[in-house]
Amino acid sequence: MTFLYRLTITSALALSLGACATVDQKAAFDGVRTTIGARVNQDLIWRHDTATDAEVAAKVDALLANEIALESAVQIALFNNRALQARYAEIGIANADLVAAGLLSNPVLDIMVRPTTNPASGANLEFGLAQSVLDIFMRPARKRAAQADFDRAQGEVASAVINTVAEVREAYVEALGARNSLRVVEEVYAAADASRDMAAAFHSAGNISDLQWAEEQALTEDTAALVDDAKLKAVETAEALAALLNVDASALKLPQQLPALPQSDPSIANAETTALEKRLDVAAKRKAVTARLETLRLKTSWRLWHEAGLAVSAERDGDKQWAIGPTLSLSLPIFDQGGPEVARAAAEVLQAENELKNLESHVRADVRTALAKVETARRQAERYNKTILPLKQDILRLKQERYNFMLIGVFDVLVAKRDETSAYMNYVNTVRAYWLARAELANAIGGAPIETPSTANGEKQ
Amino acid sequence: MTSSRRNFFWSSLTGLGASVGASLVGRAALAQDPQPQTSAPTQQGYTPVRTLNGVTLPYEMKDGVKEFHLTAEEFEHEFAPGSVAKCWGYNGRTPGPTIEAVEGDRLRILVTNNLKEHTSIHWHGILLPSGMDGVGGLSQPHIQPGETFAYEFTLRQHGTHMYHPHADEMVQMAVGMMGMFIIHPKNGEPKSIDRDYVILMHNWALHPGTYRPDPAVMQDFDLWTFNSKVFPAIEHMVARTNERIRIRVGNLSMWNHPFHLHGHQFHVTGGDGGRWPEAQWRSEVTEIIGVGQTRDIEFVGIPGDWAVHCHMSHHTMNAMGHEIPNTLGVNQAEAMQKVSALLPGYMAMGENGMAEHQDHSGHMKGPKNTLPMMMGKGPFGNLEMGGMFTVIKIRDDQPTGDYSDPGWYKNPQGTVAYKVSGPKRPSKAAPVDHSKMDHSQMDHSQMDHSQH
Repeated sequence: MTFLYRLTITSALALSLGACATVDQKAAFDGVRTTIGARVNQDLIWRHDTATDAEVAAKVDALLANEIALESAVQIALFNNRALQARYAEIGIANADLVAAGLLSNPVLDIMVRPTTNPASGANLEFGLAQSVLDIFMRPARKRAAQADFDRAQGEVASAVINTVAEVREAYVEALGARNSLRVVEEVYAAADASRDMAAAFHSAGNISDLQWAEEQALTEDTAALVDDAKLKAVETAEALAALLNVDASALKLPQQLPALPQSDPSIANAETTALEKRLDVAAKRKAVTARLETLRLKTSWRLWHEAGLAVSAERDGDKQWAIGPTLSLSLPIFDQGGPEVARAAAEVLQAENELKNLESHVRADVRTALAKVETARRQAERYNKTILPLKQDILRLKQERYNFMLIGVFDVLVAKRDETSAYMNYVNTVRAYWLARAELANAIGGAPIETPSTANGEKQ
Repeated sequence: MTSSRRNFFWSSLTGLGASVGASLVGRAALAQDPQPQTSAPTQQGYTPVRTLNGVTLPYEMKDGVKEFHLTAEEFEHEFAPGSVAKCWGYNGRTPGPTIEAVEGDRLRILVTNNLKEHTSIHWHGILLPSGMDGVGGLSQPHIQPGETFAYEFTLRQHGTHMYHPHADEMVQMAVGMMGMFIIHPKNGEPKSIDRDYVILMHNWALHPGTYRPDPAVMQDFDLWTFNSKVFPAIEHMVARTNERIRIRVGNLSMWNHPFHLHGHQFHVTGGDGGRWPEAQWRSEVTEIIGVGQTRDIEFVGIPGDWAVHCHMSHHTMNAMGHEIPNTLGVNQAEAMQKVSALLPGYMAMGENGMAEHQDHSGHMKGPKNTLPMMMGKGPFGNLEMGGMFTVIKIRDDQPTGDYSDPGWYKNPQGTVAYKVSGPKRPSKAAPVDHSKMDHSQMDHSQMDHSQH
């Protein structure tokens, strides 16, 4: 009976080890929420039940009630983008795996009944309860590996969130840029249209030829085609943004113009180091390396022992006497000493390490490129705002003075007006490039929030 | 002294004065020798010429030789108030001071070069030794910067002549280097001359908004000048009724100019080739002065205010565009709606003609340093002129030898064109509110030419 007693102890132990079998998905999601919160400075909610869903829907509606600023678009996406919600579920899956990894494999009960021809002796009965011993010893290591896997899954989801944030920012800038450009193209058209009206007056007075009149009309129509293009672009970009936010484009109150450039660019000390610390794809890759190292360690320690079973069996033979005794089953490392498995694990470690180094190199390059883009876009935007636009305004004024003294005609003045407006279009493009670069930089260093000034770029200096 | 200081002050104020006079020390001197308001025959018996807006070069007698001194240099010249340019000329002015002498005189003309490139002076139409003809490289070595050369010769002719550089001639003439050279007959005039005026015609590519004439231009000039001035800054001429008046006109521009005098038939009495025998005189009202030519016209004064101008109508305009769309008959009213929104301050002009431009240019700003295309006011309204235009004022009571401005002509009763029919004119209302315009700059009547 001593053995039975010990079996009971072992089973109780195993049960106690496996008892923590509830899966806490909320705690698992909070990890991502904290990670994102620390980087993007926005809240994350997993709409996993109807109550939460209603609560988040109300928050989204509140945000949609106002004109959408860059970061509120990001917040709406985090609440409302269903692709993200789908990814949040991945955390639940990984979490379940993690919990499962903490459980012992269940003991195996064998029951064997062998009826005999001798009725006196009754059936031959055999009971066996077997538990994988190796499983017990490997459990902590296996759990560590599963934890690493969970962390990686969490990291990947967080990374996906960050990517969506970047997409939203880009889409937002594109949508505003397109609206902004449309307004300017309409002004360019207004100049061409006025020029056509003027040409009509000259033509009906008999002062310009059919040729000049046709040229003037063609020019105006060309410009009208540009307006159509700009209109479509505004629709496309607004729809792209709305799609990312999973709302109707008509529900978006977008500003008419891009925000003005801030007084200065954010100073990011050691941007490359920051990026390597904060970037979630880098963190995920690091965790992959850790997980693989753990796997390798595990494979190395237990390379010889593929299977080890400990069991207890009881048998009642024909004499109706119970015979009870332990059983040990062990796979003998004669042919397969685990070498290939270890080699595979080692190669996988190398693979992950090289992938990490490659990623780090790309991250550094991304950061440097984004910084250069921000700097260039600022320089260009400021050149347009402080030099080129004032010069174009001067040119227009000086052309008007020339018109006043009959040195040039009205058409030349209208061309100057068109040129001035076209220069403003180039300026809008530089502002757009600036905010795209800022979004790229924010993404490159891990998703940092972007502060936008409340003034629009249209307020000419 | 007080008087001459006052004259200088006046000249500076009006901007029309002979602000720079001849300088024997070889640099542009400020404010001396404005032309006297009166003149009388000289000791040598001739009536001194009067160069509109200009001066006559003084000389010193040295051992029986009349010694003159011209200094070639750069300075700022005013074409009319509102338009100045860096020009080259002599003794601080363009045209340079008029050289005036008498047939038989021996002259020594010192020429100092204060330019940064070499120069020379060619005495256009004067009979002299080949080595005194002033063609750089042909007749003489060039006069290098900082050098002074002497030209010395005896005058063997009389007539209306000119002087100008013959070294980098295209550039140096385009920026103003030129002058008149008048030789009076030693035995006096067969018909004595009471007023003897000198005009040198030129053209300038002073593009709107610029401050230096462009020597590269061959035809499309911006300013057309009498003695390097445009109307209304050109001094008017004055005479007494029945006086014998001569106008000596030279042309160093790049166009021929039909020189036209109103109210008289004049005789063309000579040119660079000297005075013509009376049998060759032609009666004309317009005489074409070819490029590089001079002509003398003479007439007896008839009272009135008479226009004197080049008859190329574009030459009596200041700078304007020649490739502007033709606005004549174009009603811009409909188009204005859109245009005004884009170009605040835009004004539709020219539907019924360009005359309105003179009024608009008073309140609508033009390019810097650029004169309105048409300017000048007379007793009855805008003159709508510019460039080569001035007036000769002939009066019954103008004292002999007095050049001061008699004011506008008082037409005898019944001798002014009069309105026969037509709608009543609004008392003072004009189609545009001109109340804020400053016409004073362009008001010919207010310009005081008497100080020259």
